[in-house]
Amino acid sequence: MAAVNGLRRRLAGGTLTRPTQGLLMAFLGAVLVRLALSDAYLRYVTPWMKWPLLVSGVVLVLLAVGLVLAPHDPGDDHGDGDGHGDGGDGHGHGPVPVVTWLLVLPGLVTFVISPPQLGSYLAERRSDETPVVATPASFSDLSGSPDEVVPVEVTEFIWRAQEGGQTLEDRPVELSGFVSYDQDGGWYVTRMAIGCCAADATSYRVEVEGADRPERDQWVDVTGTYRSGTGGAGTGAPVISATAVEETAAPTQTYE
Amino acid sequence: MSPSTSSASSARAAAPPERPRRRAVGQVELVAVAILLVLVGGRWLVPLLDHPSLSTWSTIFVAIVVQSTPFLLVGVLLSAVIAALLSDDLLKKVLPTRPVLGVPVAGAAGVALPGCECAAVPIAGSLVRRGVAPAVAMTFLLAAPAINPAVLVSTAVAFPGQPEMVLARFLASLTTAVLVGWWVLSRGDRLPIAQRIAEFGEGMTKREKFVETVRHDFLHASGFLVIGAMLAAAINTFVPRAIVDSVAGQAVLGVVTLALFAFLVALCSESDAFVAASLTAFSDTAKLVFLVVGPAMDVKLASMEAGTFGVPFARQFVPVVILTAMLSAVGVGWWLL
Repeated sequence: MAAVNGLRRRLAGGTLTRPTQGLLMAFLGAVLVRLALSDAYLRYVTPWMKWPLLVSGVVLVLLAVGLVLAPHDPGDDHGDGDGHGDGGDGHGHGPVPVVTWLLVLPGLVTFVISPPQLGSYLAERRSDETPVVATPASFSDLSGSPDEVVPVEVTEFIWRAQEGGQTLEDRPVELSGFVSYDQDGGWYVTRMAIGCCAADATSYRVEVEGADRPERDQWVDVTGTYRSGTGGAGTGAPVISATAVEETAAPTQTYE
Repeated sequence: MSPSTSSASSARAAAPPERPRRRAVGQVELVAVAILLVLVGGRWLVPLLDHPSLSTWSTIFVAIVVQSTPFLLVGVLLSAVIAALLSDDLLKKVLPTRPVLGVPVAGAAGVALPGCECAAVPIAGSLVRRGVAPAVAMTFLLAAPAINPAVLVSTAVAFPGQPEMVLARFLASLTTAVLVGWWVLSRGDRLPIAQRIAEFGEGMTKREKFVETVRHDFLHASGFLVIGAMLAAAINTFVPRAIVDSVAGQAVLGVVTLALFAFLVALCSESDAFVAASLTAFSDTAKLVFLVVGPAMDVKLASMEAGTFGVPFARQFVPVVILTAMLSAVGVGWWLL
């Protein structure tokens, strides 16, 4: 406790100097640029955020450079040392709050933990929800010959099942997603969907029968047909009778 | 703060500039070394931290920060425009002279800023510093993220065949913003609003003012944004939705629970409608409460407002906003849904 208080006093007493402020802003900016340039940002936000992230990152870095290079306020540190920065210098600038140090954290977490895309852990915790699927923006063409396997998105599959399932009857389809379990030994081909960022993720799952369950979070392509009468509105996950399960690598954009 | 300040000043008296200067350099180097260590040592630390709950928490935490930062930056840049570039004459012309009428006008003006709630906080802060009545600024702060077109469209998409949900959300959020605005007005000077950079040094050029405002506002809001994101990510990861669902049957408890849930999960207002729609066990009124409370107040916003307007202000403002939002949502829900 004493150590914590001492630390707090040190942090508060030596308010962030302008170079430190700049460094913190530049670090956050660099993280944003890095995420936007690699495809890593797709784990956290929707694809259209790429350019806003890139621009914000660059702006933050430029601001930080300006902050360090710019001449300070008149009288800001004439003879009273940089150590005080904004701390009570009597020019109407409040000190930068201690919590600003936390700006290090997003970068720290990004580089140390390198958070993965959301997977089975959250999907299983949220499995009690009955997700409501909005009408898909585009449909797969299921009108062709019944021998041809058609790839269908997991959300579209659930939507068709909730509509009564007639459009899926006797149609071999291919679903792709990651594996999640339930407590009764069943397994699901699962996708997460996000509206804004990973905080509002909803899980969508289709139960797979007739195939051994792979490892959790393994990405799979499941070929099979819809089992009639499952997954109607408000009744839980629909079921696919699998004829083949193929393990694949995770796609770049894992959210639907 | 005072012990270290006094020791520093006595040290300064004894040996003028050297000691403080050395400490300052030390701080910068410390941060730089820490960042370098993380960059270099990251790959050896990763396996130690590989628990699914921790990685889920960190994914959501980084997601909230990454999603909010561009919006915060836009808000900060706009607030710097207000602080440095708008002339006093223009401000006078645009703003209504009587705050009583200015409050509903500011509420309606919220329609025009399709942004995240993070952008609204620095803008409101800057408006207050430029002498705009706090009531008007707070109304704008509450209305902007809640009733803009992007939010209403996403609500319509999430609740297909229920256009009354969109109307109810619009009315209840606007009512909340205006009522809280009038409350701020009636409290007047008794409401302790901190005005951190009330005056700039005289003789600053517009460019210096602009850069100073950006620096000040960003650093004042971003740390608190990180705190809010940490809490919201923890709630999202560790609180099972089943606990929330268990009270869905009871009308009053359902409303209170979803209000609390909206406050804690801190979703952005463009996407919360989809989460509300998935809470199928709850009544429509309870869902409306979720949609009205969320954009008006959540952990992330409360934290940022404490940073921008001061903790004493937030202590009064936050509960009043939540209560008003709940009551107006229940009222509108009872009438329309």
